Parts: sequence; C-alpha cells; structure tokens
Amino acid sequence: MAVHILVVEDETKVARALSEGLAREGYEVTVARTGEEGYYLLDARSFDLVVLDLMLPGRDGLEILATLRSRDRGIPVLILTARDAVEDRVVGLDAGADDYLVKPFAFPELSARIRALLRRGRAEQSSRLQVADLEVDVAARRVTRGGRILELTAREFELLEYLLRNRGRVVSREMLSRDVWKEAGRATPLDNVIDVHIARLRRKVDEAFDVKLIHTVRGVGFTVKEAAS
Amino acid sequence: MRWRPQHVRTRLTLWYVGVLSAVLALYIVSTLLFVYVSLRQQLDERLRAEFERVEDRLAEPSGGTIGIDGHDEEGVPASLVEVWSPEGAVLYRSASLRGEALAPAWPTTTRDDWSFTSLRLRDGTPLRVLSHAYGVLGRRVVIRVAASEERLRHEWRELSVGLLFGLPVAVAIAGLGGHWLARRVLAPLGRMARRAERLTADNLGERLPVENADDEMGHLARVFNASLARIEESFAQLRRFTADASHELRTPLTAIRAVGEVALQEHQDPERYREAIGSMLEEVDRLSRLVASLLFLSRADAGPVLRCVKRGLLELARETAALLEILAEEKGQRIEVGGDDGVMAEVDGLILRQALINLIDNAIKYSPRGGCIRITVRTNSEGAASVEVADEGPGIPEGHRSRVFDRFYRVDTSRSREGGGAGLGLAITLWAVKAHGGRIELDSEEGRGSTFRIVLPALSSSTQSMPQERPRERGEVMRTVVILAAWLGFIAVDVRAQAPSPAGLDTNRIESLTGAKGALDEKEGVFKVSVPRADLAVTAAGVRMTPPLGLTSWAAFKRAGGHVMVMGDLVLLEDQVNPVMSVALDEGLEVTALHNHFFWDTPKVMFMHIGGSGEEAAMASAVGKVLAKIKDTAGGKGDVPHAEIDPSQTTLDTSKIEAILANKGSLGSGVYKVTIGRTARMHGQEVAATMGVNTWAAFAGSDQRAVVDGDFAMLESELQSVLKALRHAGINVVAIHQHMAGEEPRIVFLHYWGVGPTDVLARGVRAALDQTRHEGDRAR
Repeated sequence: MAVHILVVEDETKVARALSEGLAREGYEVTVARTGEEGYYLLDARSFDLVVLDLMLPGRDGLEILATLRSRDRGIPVLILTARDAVEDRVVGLDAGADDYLVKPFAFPELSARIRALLRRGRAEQSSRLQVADLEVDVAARRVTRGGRILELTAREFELLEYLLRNRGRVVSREMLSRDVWKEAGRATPLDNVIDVHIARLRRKVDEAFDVKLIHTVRGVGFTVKEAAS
Repeated sequence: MRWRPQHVRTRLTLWYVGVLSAVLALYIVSTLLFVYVSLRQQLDERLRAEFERVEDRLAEPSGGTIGIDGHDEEGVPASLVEVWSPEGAVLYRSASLRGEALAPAWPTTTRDDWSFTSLRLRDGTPLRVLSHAYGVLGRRVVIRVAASEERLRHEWRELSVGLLFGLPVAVAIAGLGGHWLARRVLAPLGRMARRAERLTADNLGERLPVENADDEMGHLARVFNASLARIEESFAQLRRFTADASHELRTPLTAIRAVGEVALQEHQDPERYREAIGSMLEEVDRLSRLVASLLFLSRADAGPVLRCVKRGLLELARETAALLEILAEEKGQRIEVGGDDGVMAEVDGLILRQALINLIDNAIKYSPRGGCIRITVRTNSEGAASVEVADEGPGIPEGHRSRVFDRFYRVDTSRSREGGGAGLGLAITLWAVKAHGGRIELDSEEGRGSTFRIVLPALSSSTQSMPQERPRERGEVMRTVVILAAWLGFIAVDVRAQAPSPAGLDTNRIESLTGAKGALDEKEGVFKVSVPRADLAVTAAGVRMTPPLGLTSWAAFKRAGGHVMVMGDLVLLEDQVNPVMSVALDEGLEVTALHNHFFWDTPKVMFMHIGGSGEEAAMASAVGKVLAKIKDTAGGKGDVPHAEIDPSQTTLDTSKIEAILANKGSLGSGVYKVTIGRTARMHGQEVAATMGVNTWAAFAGSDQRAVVDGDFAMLESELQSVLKALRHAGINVVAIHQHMAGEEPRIVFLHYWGVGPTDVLARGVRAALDQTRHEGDRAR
C-alpha cells in the first residue's frame, strides 16, 4: 500500500510542485490549501506523514500541530517555515514537530527528510552498497569497481557512501554540506569545496570506465545512477 | 483640574513673582515690627527722662499733697504725671488728665522697678505710662509719668501705608523684569526647537545652533547634535544597505527572468529546457544564499547569542584549514598552519570558524597559483590571542582598506560574483569577531599580499560577548533620551525614501548601482564612472580605435541642491542604440543627442548623450540599467530590423495613412510623403516648412510590410516625449541634432526610420506628433 502524505500548504505553486514531486516518488499525496481543510482532513482520514506549512490562512500551522499531538502521538510531522530564527524552529519542535525545513528548500532535501522520517525506528543501514559494478563495503571501508580496488580518502569515501545511500535520487550541495561536512551554517560557502571533492571522486570512480555513475544535475546537485536518463 | 500655564516663561515669571512677594511681605512685616518696637523704646526713654525731671521737682507744699515745681503752672504740660500714696490716694495728678486715672487702681505690686503699660484715655488718646515706686520726703510713693503715643502711632501708620502701597509696584516691576529675563534665557531653546521642527529624514545633516558651548543650552545643543550625527550615520548606513541589497537581489532575479523568458520564446528540445531550468535554479541558489547571509547578519545585529567554550585556537585553525585545503591544492597552493599550541580563548567554535573560513577562502582566492597561505596563532604583546591569515595576493589598495568589511563592498567591482559571493563574507567575519569582543587588523601592501589578523581579548576578560559601550554621563544620556523620544516619533512619521541629505555623493553607492568604476573630481564636485568599450574592435579607415581614442562610455554625477544631476555619453554600435535608448527613457533619463563620431569606421559606432536629474540612487540605478543593457546587447545581440521593400512595388493604402496622420500627403515614385511645417524666427525672419523647419514622414511598401523614413522638428522641451512615442511604436531613432543656430524658439531635429505594418508606423508618427505643437498640423 502506498504511503499517504498530507501536504498542508497555501501557496498554490509550492503545493502543486510538492504534490507532483512526491507523487513521482511513489507517495500518495493529498493537498490541503488552508488550515481548516488540513484540520478537517486529519480528522477524517488517516495519513502516514504530514508536511505542514507554519504560516497558513485560517488556522495557524502550530495550532493544527498542537491539536494533532493532543490526539495522536505517532504520526510524523515535517514543518515548513519561512522564518529562519532559532526560536521559531524551537517553537515548532516543541509543539511536537519531528523535523523542520526552512523555505526556500531544495526538493531533494524535502524528499530525503521525508524518507528519514518514514524510516525512523527501522534500522536500514546496510553495510554493503552497490550500483552497477561499483561496490562499497561500509564496514571494511573498501570500494571496488569492476573488481578493481579504488583508493579513496576518508572524505571521498563518506561522500560516495552518502551518494550511494541516496542512489537514484538527487542530493543537493546543502545536504552534502550538512550531512557529510557537518557544517550547519547556510551562510558558510562550501560549494567550491564540495565541487572539488566531487570532481576528484569522479576521476577515481568514473574516469577509467565507459559507464559513468556520478552525474551532475545542473542547479540542483548530484546523483549516482547507472545510466543518464 | 489644576491650572498650569503653558509656557515655561510664564511659569518661571509666576514663580518668581510669588517668591518675591512673599519675601517682600516678610520684609515689610519685620520692618514695621522693628520700627514700632524702636519707636516705643524711644518713647520709653523719653518717659524715663521725664520721670527724672519730675522726680527732681517733687515738693510738698502743704500737708499731705505733693506738688511739682514748674509743673502745670506754665500751662504747658510737658507730660502727664500722677503720684500715688501707698495707701491708694492720689497725691498729685496733672490737670490735663482732668481727673482720669493713669492706672485703674493702685498697682498691686510695689516692687521697686520700672513698669511700662499702655492705656487709652476716655477721649481715645493712647498713652504710654511709666510707673515707679519711689521714696520721697520720707515716704514711699508711686509716681506715674505718661506720654501720648499718638505721634508714634501716626508715624508708624504712615510708614506701613507707604510700604504696603509700594509692594505691588515693586512686585509688578520685578515680574516684568523676570519675564524679560526668562524670555532672554529661554530664547536659544526656542531657536533650537524651531530648527529641530524642520528636521526630517531628508535634512538630518543640519545641526542645532550652539550659541555658547559652555552653558547649559550649549550643552544641550551639543548633546543633541551628537545624537543627530549618530542618527544620520545610521540612516545613511541603512540607505546604503538597502540600495546595495536591492541591487544584489535584483541581479539574480534579472538572470532568472531573462533565462526563463528566452527559454519560453520558442519551442525547444527538452535538453535546452533542462539547461534553462538548471541555470535558473543556480540563480535561485545564489538568491537563497544571499537571503540566508542577510538574515544571519540581521539576526547578528539584533544581538548575538554565543555559546562560548574555552578552546585552543591552533586546533581550530588547523581544522578550518583542513576543510578548505582541497581548494588550495587545486591551485597548487600550500596552507601553512603554525604558531603557539597553548593559545586558548573563550570562543563559539561555530561562529569563529565561519570567520576563519571566510578569511582562508579569500586568501586562497586571491593568492596566485603555487602561492602560500600562512596561518599563524600566537599571543601578541598585549597578551591577546591572535590568528593571522596571510596571503600572497595583489593586496588591497589603501583607499579600500577601511571599507572591505562593509556589507556588499567589493574592491574590484568587475570581478563581481564569480567566486566572490555577494560581498558579505568579510562583513560576516567582522561581526563574528566583534561578537567575541575582538577586532580585526588588516595589513596590506599592494603587490605583496594582505594579512588579516583576528585579535581576541585575553582569556581573563574574554567572557563578555559584546564589546562594552563607552560609559557615558548618565545625565547626558537621560536628557538625550527624553528629547529624542519625542523627536524620533516625529522623524519616523516623516521618513520617506528620498534623496540622502549629506553634501556630496555616495560614491560607493553610485559605483555599486551603476556597476561601473568611477573617479572623483573634488574640485568640480563631480563623480564620473566610465566603461571603456574594450569589447569593440573598431577600425576607422584602417586605424585601430582603442577605448582611449573616444570609445569610452561615461556618466558624471554632480550634486545640485537636493538632487543629483547626471550627464553622460554612451558609445554604442548601431544595433544597440535603440534598445539602450528605450531603457534610458524608461528609467527617466533624457536622451539629448545621437550622432556618429568617425567616418569609415567598422563596425559603425554611434554616440548617444544622456542626462537627467533626480534622487541619487534613482539616477545611479538608471545609469546602471543603461550600462547593463549595453552589456546585454553587446556582440551583435541588439535587434536588427530587416524587410525587403521595393518602393517601385508600393501597394500600401495611402488613405489609411492620411486618416491616421490626419494630414494629407502626396504619392510619387511609390513613396507617400506627408510634410507638416512649423515656424520659428531666425535673423529676424520667419522660417517655416520650405526652409526646412518641418516634420515629414515617407512611407513605402505594402500595408503589412512598410518602411517609414522621416525627419522630426520639435522644441527642445518636446524631444523626450517624441522619442518615447517613436520608440514605443518600434520606430528607430537614428540621429538627433540641431539644424540652425540662434533661432527662436530653439528647434531640434531627429531622424527616424522603421519597418512594420503601415498602420503601426503611421500611428507611431501620429503619437509623436501629438507630443508637439506643429502649426501646420491639420489635426490641431
């Protein structure tokens, strides 16, 4: 059965983009355009996850969240906020949100967060990752392609592991900056550093092979997949 | 409700009068009292002397009675005398007493002392009586001497009346004097208030008059002026920031828009769309990062929240360098981290790391290939911890050093954003260091490199998270606060985004808004930005024309009162002239001439003169847009019209043109020409259509595809609206010039040429005609 996600978002364009993007990832998506509607839908049907905009006409996102939490503890809630201040995030998390994203966010980022929330509680950290003839043994920290061992630096290894865990999906530079480099500030520019690392990784992983595995998606980020489509 | 006079002046006067009246009243009362007592004393002295005289003359002429020699006999009673026996019998009594007793009865006390009493006779005469027991002629008698108090009382009453009548007069005079004095003292306050009333956000540069720097009013004015200077600076900063921020935000927005619009123009293959969307997303990314940086800074301004822990700075520097090392590696550079391992400081690692990342990132960017970046951690001579980042870059020119930390400031404006971000990196760095109570030092030598030094306070005193403000005199602060509070409300209402007031020009802003580098001519008060057209490869009859040979666009800014005027000359290729002209007109600039400069030049170069006057930011941003349009249309990207029309095949419907222009023309050789005259005076003669003072339009081709060619004669004041009308109709303006000299009124001419549907062209010409007053125009 498909995972059912409720998106409560008043901005038409954002709502439509989210609904299309998530549907393409295989989720069943219902969109509520006002707080009232979201509140009603949550009451009437059951969802596996809620993406909730905090600033809504009618009923405020926080209000919906509070009511939801007073009834049902289990359902994961990801809040979207245009306010970046730490206090706003804290308020959201205190009210019972499981995660937050600050607008403007990259879609791959949202998708990754949703996967993480849905996966929560289930350990799915496989220790062997593979795409085409590229194999990564996380436990042994060994990378081979076509049986040949590739020598990677620690950072390159982490980068490749992260890309492979998200294989088939696009990861943004921001995600890499936060998850691989553990750099929290958005104001800190690491894009150049990331690009150089990717270039080096590409040299080691793809240069000697006909089938390229690491691809750049212009304006969005990088992806690892078998063939360009 | 208690009544309170409105003016301090009146209040002061009233208080003064009140206090003065009370003091005067007290003075009068005590004077009267004193005078009364002393008059009494004089009277008493006289009574005593009288007593002695009486005593000397006491005699006992016959048994039992007592007489006084010389008393009564002369009939002039010097005083009133009574002598009593101890038994209570009257032994003697002056005749003038007419039998009245000087005391009600024999005094009960017969003590041997002097006693004074007052009483009133039956006829109302007030008396002062001295009684004294006295032994005379072998027995004790009581002698009483009395004198009238009439004169004493009279004198005293006169004095009282005089004083009491004088009081109001004195008070009135004092009141007037007080009022005058209060007025005089408070006058500077009034002048200050009037000046202050005129202050708005636009003339914050004005100051209150300081009449005497040392007195209280002067002090107030100085305090006020100092606050004003601070407000002015904040305003200027805010304006600069807003202008810069909007410029920075506009750039990616423009790119997104342009890329999107172009991609949508025609059907393209999915790869091209993908490319376009990707390029738009890159700009979105830039925009997001810019917004994030701005938010970071604005939150930082509100007051930083640091989570400080004690940690080794060398370790922090190593960690940060390792993060960026790969960038240096790519450029074949080395990063050397060294220094004292024991240097510790209370820092928020995340925040300080951002500062270091920015400094090291810059150092890598500016150092040449194969260069070396040295990071040194040590304790300086003051005992403060310092982290030094030295590069081998080109160095920072002297004039830029103090401003590199300003938001959006870039030393090299043309280097722009490639890797340089939005010019916020150093601003963030400076903030981060200041938040730790530290400072940044910058040593730089052109051609030798720059050294940025973060200096953090020594450990013992490093716990404050904000630099302490200079302690100020409390009274001064309070006074300032009170006045400012009232005032700021007033200013806040009046804040409008208008021209900045400081004299001169904000050259940094002009550079940033025009996107061009400039130079200041202090003598003329002119700031001139210029853009050499190095992108052109022009030859004129075989001569290679380089930018210094006249191929440089420029715009000069000069302050004129509350406004800024601008004049400039733009170097354009043929295909750029009209698109650039449209932008200039849309941005509120005037186009005042259009001409060529060379002969036999390829590609053909045209010169367009622009001018304008208005708010500095508006003028600068208008020029910026014009310059941007030049850049955008460079390299043959301007719109070149093309149509195949042969006048000998003309089919167009001339009646339609006639109807639209509302003027009749004539058709000859396939060209339909309409001429509309106007008149001017020159050399005392009237000159009109046939002398060349006319507007004409010649049409050829078909209804769908026609050419219009013509000349336009108009007043100087009509030029701009005519240009707009023609450009609006897509008709090209190919020359703007004068034809005569010394004519009245002054007539300017322009040449135009355009292709398109006949009715569109005719309507364009008509719209332009509508902006003018042609005497020969039948439509008028």
